[in-house]
Amino acid sequence: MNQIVTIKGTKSGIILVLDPNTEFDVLKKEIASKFNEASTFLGKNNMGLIIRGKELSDDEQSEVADIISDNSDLTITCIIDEQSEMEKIFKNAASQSEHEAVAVPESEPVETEPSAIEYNYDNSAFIYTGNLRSGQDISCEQSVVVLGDVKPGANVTSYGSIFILGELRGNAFAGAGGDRNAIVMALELNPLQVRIADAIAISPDAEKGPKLRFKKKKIMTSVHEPEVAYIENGHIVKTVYGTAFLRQYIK
Amino acid sequence: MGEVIVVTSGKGGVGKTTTTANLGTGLAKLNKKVVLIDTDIGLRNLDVVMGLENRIVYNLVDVIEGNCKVKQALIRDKKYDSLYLLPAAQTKDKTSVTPDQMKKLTDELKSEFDYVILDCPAGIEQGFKNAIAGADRALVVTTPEVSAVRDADRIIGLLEANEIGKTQLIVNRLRADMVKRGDMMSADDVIDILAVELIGQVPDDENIVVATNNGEPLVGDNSLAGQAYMNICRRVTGEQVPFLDLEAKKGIFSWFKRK
Repeated sequence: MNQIVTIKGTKSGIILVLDPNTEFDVLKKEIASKFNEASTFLGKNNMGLIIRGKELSDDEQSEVADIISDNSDLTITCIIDEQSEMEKIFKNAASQSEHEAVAVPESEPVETEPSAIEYNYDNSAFIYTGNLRSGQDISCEQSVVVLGDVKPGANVTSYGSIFILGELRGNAFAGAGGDRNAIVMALELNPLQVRIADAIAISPDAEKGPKLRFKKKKIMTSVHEPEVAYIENGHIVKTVYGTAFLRQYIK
Repeated sequence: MGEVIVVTSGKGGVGKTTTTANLGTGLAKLNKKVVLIDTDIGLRNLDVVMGLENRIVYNLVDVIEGNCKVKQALIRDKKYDSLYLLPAAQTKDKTSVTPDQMKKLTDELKSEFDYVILDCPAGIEQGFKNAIAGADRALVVTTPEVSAVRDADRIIGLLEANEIGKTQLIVNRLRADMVKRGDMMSADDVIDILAVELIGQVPDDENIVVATNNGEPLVGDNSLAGQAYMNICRRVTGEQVPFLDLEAKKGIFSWFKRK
């Protein structure tokens, strides 16, 4: 499927990929409807904007930012000019002398977010509200918080850690970029698969059918504690999320 | 050189996936090398019925798009070393794969396996076209209801139009007591309407539900449905097996009789 407008979310904000062969007026309409559709998903945030695929003039860029603000709850704090950013990086590499900020904010509300450009997924998280059902995916560079359940067949992938304030019954892949310190936490941790960096753990096969139902009832009557999966000696282990784990993890 | 078999029906919910799982497991029990392919992209089920859901890392779309090798995506069965599953993707849709790509894949697998069995999605759109692209033989599953038989008829027409070598019929969920009362079509009645060769009749059996929920196909066990599926497997390999007497009643006397 060839889409003329594609929205991608990253740590630093939104990447808007535009089809270079489509008229700007057509693109504008498409952008408006896309953001309208996605506004509940994107939530209320201050975001940086990167435009790729088609070169736009300054006026056109700010027009795009206006469209986004009108059609969603997002506020575009800066438009990141990738080309001049790249040039700067090249210059830096060549001369090794410049130490300048990378982003070139353009137009729109003047306040810029310095953190929006840094690559550091530890300090922020992507928050998703709602249940993730079979076939639904979240994948992003920053850590992920899900306020809801992750059901079998759903995937959460993150370069950082994954926190599920609900039950994890699907797949979770933390530290997808190779971070072995990443963890997967859930109020109930019954996943099909958990992957952290290069380690993988799958759910046991045996507990199925009537036995499982019986077990579940038992668990429900007892007080439930959040659980966490992390890497120990190269293997993924699951434990209760409590002081014992935290003491070990924080040091 | 192996054989590519597509399990299809047109109508949904008649037992394609259950049949595929039992057929694959049964053939593996007969020491055949088998690979099952779930072509129902976006609504995959075969992995759940086989109890292999937790092992999925790569899927059919990854293989087609070249993200991984075929060998990496194949999941070996829990019990049978000669049985493999290639799961469908859940986050894509049927248009991610074309019939040509499927044909290439099945041709590749055919050289290594005795049987390549494809679980076809319901409907006659892209997913169906993908599934039948490389098939040498089709097993059409139907239940003895007019709606399912009507769809099966349409499917058989499409299979003939696509020059699939051999089309055989499985009548699923037969209830001997209802047939006897004249409230349900018998397998023979269905054959009369569809005019294709019958390869199996499977009784309606509670054990199927239990087996599906446990992720362990019941083929070959003592239940009537398990025996029926095993017979189908043997017929697939070319053996001549008489049809089961579905009227065998439960109870200790009939149990002895069946033995």
